[in-house]
Amino acid sequence: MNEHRKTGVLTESQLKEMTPELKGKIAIVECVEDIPCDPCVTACPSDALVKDSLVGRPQLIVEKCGGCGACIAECPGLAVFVVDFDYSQDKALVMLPYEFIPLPEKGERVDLLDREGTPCGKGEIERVRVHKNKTAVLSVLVPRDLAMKVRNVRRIQ
Amino acid sequence: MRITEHPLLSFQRKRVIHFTFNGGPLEAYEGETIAAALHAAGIKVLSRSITYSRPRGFFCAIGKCASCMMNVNGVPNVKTCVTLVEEGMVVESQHKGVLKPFTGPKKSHISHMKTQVAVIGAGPAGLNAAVTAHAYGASVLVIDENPHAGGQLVKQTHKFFGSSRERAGTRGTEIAKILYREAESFVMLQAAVVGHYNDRGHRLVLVKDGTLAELEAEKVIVATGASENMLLFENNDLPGVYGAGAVQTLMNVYGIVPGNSVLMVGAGNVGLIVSYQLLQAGVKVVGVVEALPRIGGYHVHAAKVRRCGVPIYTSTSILKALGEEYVTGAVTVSLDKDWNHIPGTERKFDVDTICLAVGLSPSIEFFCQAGCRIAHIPELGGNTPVHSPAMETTVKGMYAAGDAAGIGEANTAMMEGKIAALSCVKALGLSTLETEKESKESYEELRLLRSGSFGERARQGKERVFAIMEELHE
Ligand code: SF4
Ligand code: SF4
Ligand code: FES
Repeated sequence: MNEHRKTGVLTESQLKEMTPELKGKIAIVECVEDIPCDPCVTACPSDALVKDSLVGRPQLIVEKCGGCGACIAECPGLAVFVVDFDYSQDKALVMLPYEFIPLPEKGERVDLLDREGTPCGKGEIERVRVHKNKTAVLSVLVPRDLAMKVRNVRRIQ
Repeated sequence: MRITEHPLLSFQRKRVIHFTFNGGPLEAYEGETIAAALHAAGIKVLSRSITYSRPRGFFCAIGKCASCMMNVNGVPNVKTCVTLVEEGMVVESQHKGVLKPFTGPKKSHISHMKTQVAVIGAGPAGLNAAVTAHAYGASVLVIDENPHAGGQLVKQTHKFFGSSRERAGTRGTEIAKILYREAESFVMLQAAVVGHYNDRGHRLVLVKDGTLAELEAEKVIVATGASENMLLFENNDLPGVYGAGAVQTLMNVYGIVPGNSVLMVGAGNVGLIVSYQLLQAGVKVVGVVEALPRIGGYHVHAAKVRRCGVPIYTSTSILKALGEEYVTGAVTVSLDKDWNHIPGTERKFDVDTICLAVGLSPSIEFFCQAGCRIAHIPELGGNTPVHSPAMETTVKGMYAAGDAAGIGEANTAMMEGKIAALSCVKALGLSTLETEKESKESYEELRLLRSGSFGERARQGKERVFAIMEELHE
């Protein structure tokens, strides 16, 4: 049995296997099961996401993905993130879906949470965009080494 | 206890209404059910059990379990979870079997109605069936006992999975609105179907506003949905032990939180989704326990609650609920590979709500009354009406769709509703090239939705049902 079926958290090796080279700005699709679902495919304006059937796993065509983030708010599994690994010398940018209130604001410092909801550092909100389906996409500046760790944020009370 | 701000929903609260509970004055908002209004006022104990005087609260919140019965305006045994609160209502607990004397119903005159297709249940399957049959020229009447149409869709604030060709990516709440808008003119709410006679076609007996009505229909589509499963543990009857569907109703339909902190039992999709919805409503979820050694739901749903810091305990079961009048805590225990409790692994949680998401069973009462052949199909949630791929049961002209035809999910329910409706359209002689094409596409869509490993059980279950149907025909 795959470890994530027990914990709800993807393992390092699963992540390694599914992520492209950690450079540039690219979608990270954390969807590893054959579930009947395809909004990510229709959301992508560049045809960078493909599925061979409704239940196939989504595959990212790296060369086609420009990291635009259009797929993030469309995915019902909230499983797509976009990471800009080379945002600046010491910072990466993580774009993540967020469906809680109150929304953090641009410039706000937030706790960075990993896939288990454990705080792993502090970051800064670079942009907040609320999609028309009400899912917000937060762009968060994080230390470069946390780019593949941070998957949620928490407002600092 | 009422939610004022929500990331996805907005609650339009209407006029304030005054009513009494056991003699004391209370306020509610128009459009709330009695049980919801009482819960918002902090009242969880609605009545007491007849023999042991145990406290009773609601459990299913959709009119299926009878745990919420109270005396309303002098009438005993009113299901308060589906009865809207009204100005001046007198609501009283039922105690120790002392049912207040009841003067009997007023003599009602029986009205007669006629339709080509009667649909029982205004959930995803029923509404989609009705809209489809109506679109192809059949006269349709949908009957539902709840005060709101949409069934379980109205509680599903998450964006739907499935194929973009259908309605994937749209929130369940929105789908309910779209379907209801199309069907509104032929939906009758707060009406219960209580009888079926098939001496002249199908004759249904309805109760609406305390009077009886007879409905003659050429075809009947039964989309009565499912009821939440109970789990055996100490104190499982305490108010505060709620079905996951009830928690969703309270929270997403009425904007009332079930409590302050919740233990979720069951890590299937329902348990995971409701946990996430609780977090969105600002309620603390202390953890999700799952008796199986693995998470049953989609990983993407599990990942959503995990990254909010909610632990998921697999191979763990609930041992007992704590509390006298209502839940004040829960004790869980780890299980070994043979499902035995491992001593010393008990863990206590301070919670005021225990939410059960341990599966559903098809609501088959109506099929039984009509004499449909029932088969026990564990893959589909237990007793299931035997039906053909066209969704027709063993009683001619009676069709099944959605969870009532075997537990699935909302997308497959909508598709089954459509297929049942197209079968009716065909049997009524109304089919065209277009209906033929749509029917073909729907079968294919349904097949796709059930492909893949998560659809495997439903697929096997349906195959067994179809095989029994075929055998009966030979
Ligand atoms: S980030 Fe943009 S280009 Fe890349 S997969 Fe998503 S939608 Fe397509
Ligand atoms: S939309 Fe999201 S959950 Fe659905 S297949 Fe794409 S990545 Fe997976
Ligand atoms: S019937 Fe009202 S709670 Fe179940």
